[in-house]
Amino acid sequence: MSGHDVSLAGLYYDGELRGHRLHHFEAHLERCPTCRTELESLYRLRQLLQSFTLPPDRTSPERFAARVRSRLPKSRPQPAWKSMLRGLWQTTPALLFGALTFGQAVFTVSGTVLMMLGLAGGATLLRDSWLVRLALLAGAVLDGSARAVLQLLGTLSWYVLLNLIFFSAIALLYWGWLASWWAYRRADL
Amino acid sequence: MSTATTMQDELTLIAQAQRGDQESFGELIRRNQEGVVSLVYRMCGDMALAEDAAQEAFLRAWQRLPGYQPRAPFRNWLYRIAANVALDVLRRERTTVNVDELPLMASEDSPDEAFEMVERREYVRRAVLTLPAASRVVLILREYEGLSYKEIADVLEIPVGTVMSRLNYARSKLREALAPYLQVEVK
Repeated sequence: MSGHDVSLAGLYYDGELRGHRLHHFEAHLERCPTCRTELESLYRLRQLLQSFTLPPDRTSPERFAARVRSRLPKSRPQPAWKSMLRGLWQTTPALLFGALTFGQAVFTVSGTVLMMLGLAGGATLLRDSWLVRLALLAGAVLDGSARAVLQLLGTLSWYVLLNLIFFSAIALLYWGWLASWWAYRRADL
Repeated sequence: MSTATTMQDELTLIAQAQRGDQESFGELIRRNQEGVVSLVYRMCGDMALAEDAAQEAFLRAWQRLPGYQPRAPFRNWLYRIAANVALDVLRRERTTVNVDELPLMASEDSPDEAFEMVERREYVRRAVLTLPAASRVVLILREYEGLSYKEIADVLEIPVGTVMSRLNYARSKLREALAPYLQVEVK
């Protein structure tokens, strides 16, 4: 090792030098007063720092532990993911309803805009919206037109079936989730 | 008791505490209280504040205990929480930890020795407490808690290079501040 690097003295002093770097530095130390001074200064600093002690009038570990324990919540600690999962579980119905309403709103608004622009897709989109279909059906029922009701029911049937499957799947998923959570909580007690 | 037995014992206590056993957690507190309190005390310089902050650190540890993985030593995991609490305290209580307002520490030695010791202790304490918090915590973990650079980097979630630069900075500042006590003879 030619010359000296005082930062190596710090690494050596902290026990962070390994292998050949350690051997080289030890050999260098034999003939380098600057690095020896640096090292000595670090040892003195450590010695001096030891005078920054804790005051004697501190709480005993037993008393300290008792104080902390008295402030602990009664329930066992919950992992962060479990709290998130619980939040998700609690908001699932609202999320599902929100998603459905949002989807239908986008569907209806897009259809209205397309229809106003005179594009054929708009009418199709509007016709396919179950919100619109239900509104038409309600209108027909209120008008007392049996034929119109039957026609609308006919066009609605395939759509209702698809929706039924869709909602049943969502309901199954939700109740499945509810049941698994309940089982988990039971096992957890 | 061997180190391996102690570690196994600690792992058992941690597992029990993770299942909600407050008695086991109490034992973990008793074993680690000294280290956590001394870290926080040396960070903020006031024992009442340090004990409150250390309690807060253990309460946070209890909440986060289910997420603890025994890959890192439990003590270091606690130090991470305690260091964060100490930094929060320092941000919140800037005026409280003004070094000029800190109470003097009592001594049990003879008057002359006591005077010299108290003077030196106060000098060192003030020098440490005037370091920037980021460098101070690195210095404390190295000099007082004996952690390696890698462990300090893990505790503070910073690169090892940053640990080294902060440590060098802290030491150079301390050597300036404590120059009268650091007269070195070249051999």
